[in-house]
Amino acid sequence: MSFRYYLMLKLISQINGERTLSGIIHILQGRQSVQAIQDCAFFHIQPLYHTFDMLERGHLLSLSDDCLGKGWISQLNGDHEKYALTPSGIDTLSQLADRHSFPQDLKYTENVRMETDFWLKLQLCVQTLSELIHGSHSFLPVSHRAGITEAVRRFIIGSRARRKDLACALYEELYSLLETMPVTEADILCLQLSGYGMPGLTVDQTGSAVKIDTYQSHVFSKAAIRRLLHTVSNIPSDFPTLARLMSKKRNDLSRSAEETYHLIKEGLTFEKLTEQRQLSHGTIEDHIIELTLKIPGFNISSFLPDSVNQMIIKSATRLHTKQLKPIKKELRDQASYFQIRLALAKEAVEREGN
Amino acid sequence: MDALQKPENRNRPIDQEMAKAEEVLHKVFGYSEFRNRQREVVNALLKHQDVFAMMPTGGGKSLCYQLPGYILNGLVLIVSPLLSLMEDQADSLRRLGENKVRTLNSMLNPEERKRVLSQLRQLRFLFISPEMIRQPRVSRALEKVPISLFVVDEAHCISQWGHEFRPDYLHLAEIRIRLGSPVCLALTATADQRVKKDIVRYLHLESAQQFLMSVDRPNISFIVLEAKNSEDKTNQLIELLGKVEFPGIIYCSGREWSEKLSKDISKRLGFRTAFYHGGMEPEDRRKIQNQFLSGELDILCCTNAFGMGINKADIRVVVHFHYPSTMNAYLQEVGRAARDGGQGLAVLLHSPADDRLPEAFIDSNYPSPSILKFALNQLDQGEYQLPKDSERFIDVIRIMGAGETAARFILEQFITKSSGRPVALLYDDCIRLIENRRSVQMKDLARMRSWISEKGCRRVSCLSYFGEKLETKPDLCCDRCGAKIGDFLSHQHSALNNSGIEVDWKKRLDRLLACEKVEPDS
Ligand SMILES: [Zn+2]
Repeated sequence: MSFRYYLMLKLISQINGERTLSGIIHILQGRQSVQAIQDCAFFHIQPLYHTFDMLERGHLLSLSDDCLGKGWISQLNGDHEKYALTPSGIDTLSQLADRHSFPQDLKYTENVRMETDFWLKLQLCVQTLSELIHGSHSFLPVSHRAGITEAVRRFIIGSRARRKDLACALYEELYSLLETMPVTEADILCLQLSGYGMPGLTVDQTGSAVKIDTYQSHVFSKAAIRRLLHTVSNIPSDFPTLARLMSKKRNDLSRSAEETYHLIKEGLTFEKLTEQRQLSHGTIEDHIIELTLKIPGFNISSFLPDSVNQMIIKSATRLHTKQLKPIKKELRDQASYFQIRLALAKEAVEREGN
Repeated sequence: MDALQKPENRNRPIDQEMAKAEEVLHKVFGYSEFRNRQREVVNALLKHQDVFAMMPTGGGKSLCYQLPGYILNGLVLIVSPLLSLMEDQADSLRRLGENKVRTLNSMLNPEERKRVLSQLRQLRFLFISPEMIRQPRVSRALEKVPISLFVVDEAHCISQWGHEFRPDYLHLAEIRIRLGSPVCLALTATADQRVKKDIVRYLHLESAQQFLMSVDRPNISFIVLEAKNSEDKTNQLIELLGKVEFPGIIYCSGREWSEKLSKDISKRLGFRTAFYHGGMEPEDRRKIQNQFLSGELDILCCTNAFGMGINKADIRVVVHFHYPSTMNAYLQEVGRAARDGGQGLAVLLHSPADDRLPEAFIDSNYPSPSILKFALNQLDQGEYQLPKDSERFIDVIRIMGAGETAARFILEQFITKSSGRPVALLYDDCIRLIENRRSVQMKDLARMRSWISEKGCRRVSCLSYFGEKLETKPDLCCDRCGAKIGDFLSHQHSALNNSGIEVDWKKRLDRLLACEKVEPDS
């Protein structure tokens, strides 16, 4: 059961009281807010983004209460939403870190927006094929989400191969992918698959089946899915069957930000952007931050002169913070909040790149 | 206009129709004969008579509209109150190899909705939610296709005396007229006198044929166990489950309890258990359901979110760890036991502290005066465009702390009664209505409680509530008639096996896709 404490303490140590517990929850749930995406980069916890997309707030709150009760974390300046590790928490974390770590494959977050759908499609696909090749037409499909059902129906009907051959092709591809994974990850992934005479387990149930903490089974499951997606999208020709289950669209920009992006490429100024898009300054600012974080090499010089940028970074380094207010204060309002956010975002991305 | 045309098979002689029905029964459904009063219901429908049928849960209700779908010309439209129920029903038809079946509910995105509407003519069965059928675009599309049968499933939802009142049901009669008054079949499992009257009245079924079967299930025995508190209840539950036959369902009041009991039972008895509640992801719920159906679970701990549309015939025991707020709901839940005709056991565990829960549940159906006032003002000021913004409105009200039922209540009142009325008067109306409904529900709750403390035969008491008399008393009737837990001891507990789950991914994959890795020649 200790993995969950490792997770909690690790997060709190990384964030170090600069964000609230809600902020942490948003990261784990994979909120599509600019704040959550930006925070991941700031605090170097991108791999954990969207790892607990199904996590209920209450569960994390009781986990933090648990840590509080054990004296591992304490509230910061009486702010009941911000926490930092106590000396005993630091000790505990370093002990836990001997036993635990986050699986490597979590780092493949480039397909994060499609991982939930892909996994549902794969589960429904395996189930349907499994039932069909066993001659069974009477089963309760694991997913009812309209888009998923439709995609799998198209996948199976649209394939010219006989069902038996399709099942075998899927088997071969899954087998060669799972073989490259740590065994526990592969086990946890397959335990969730349903099919003829073999109902799948929920992620929580896989935890008890392989006798690990449920939080850990969630993390392993995510890691396995991400590795799968990563490999398939990099070498689709080796995995033609699975590649067909992936959505065509890889771009994970929000649609609105994408429109803004096109206009920026056409050379519109900030003012022109708000005018043309009929959006508020704040929204356009959010789009620019999102583009900075998601598009490698996105040029921000027209929104942030290099001199201002350097000033902000220096101040942030000196103050040892990622909070906007103290930086703005130190710069005596020579930079706007937007410019500070932008500079920090750019810096986080660049550091990631190295 | 199409809907008004007489179907061409109207003039065929009746016995020929029924011969056809028998044939469909064998060929499509694989049954050798009709059960209960299915034959009469089907016969009446084929004669174009409206039918009101009450059949106990597990009595084969669905077949009553499924079978005519293969004989009558036109679309069988089934109004169904619950999303999960709707999908289960559609699935059970698909399992028969039927692909001309669709569902239409708020979960579909607009494009898919449009596609279903454009295919209506090709469909045999359409399951639809009561909210969806009221949408102008939907009803206009339905008006254009011939409807052979207008089925109102779970018809008790039409009555505010019922335990699952759905205001949208009140508009069904009017919609049916707009659709050219197709033949109507109203179905329910349990309805007391008031609910029956409402069904007839609101669906205009005064001249319908009625087939009202007894709610009695002689093969289910009733036992109530008194306990001091939750801990005592948990202990009694564990003791009970250690003796009686599986599989079983434990109904409890909320997520936390379902999770806790599942854990306790598995820890203390080594049983294969799981929990099921409305807070889970739909896919997780489906997995648990599949595990339960395929016999991989001994005990399922759940809230009342589990059950509608579940067809597992061999459930031996249903335990209520918390009791529901009406006899109706209680009988529905208990009725899931022993559909295979074997012996079933219904146990209700009662402790004094439980008596607070149903009241809290009833209160959650209605908005507090302050939320009501706020919401009505917002609606009055045109903050929401209805019905387009209904879901957004419901979300806002829910964030303020009211339940979904409460939010729907406000919406319904505003839509049906607001035209031109000052909002202050509407507020007063609502408060009065809430008082009335609440007092009715409190009476139902009082009935439930008096059944729990009943000194005489529980079966007699329960039947009299539904206006029925007990004709023959089964041997294992109820605790008051001398039935004891000891009468239901299991002989097969040695079969317990906790290691059933295959963990090895290679073996699982082999079994699922029936392939084996071909090792390259070495
Ligand atoms: Zn009795």
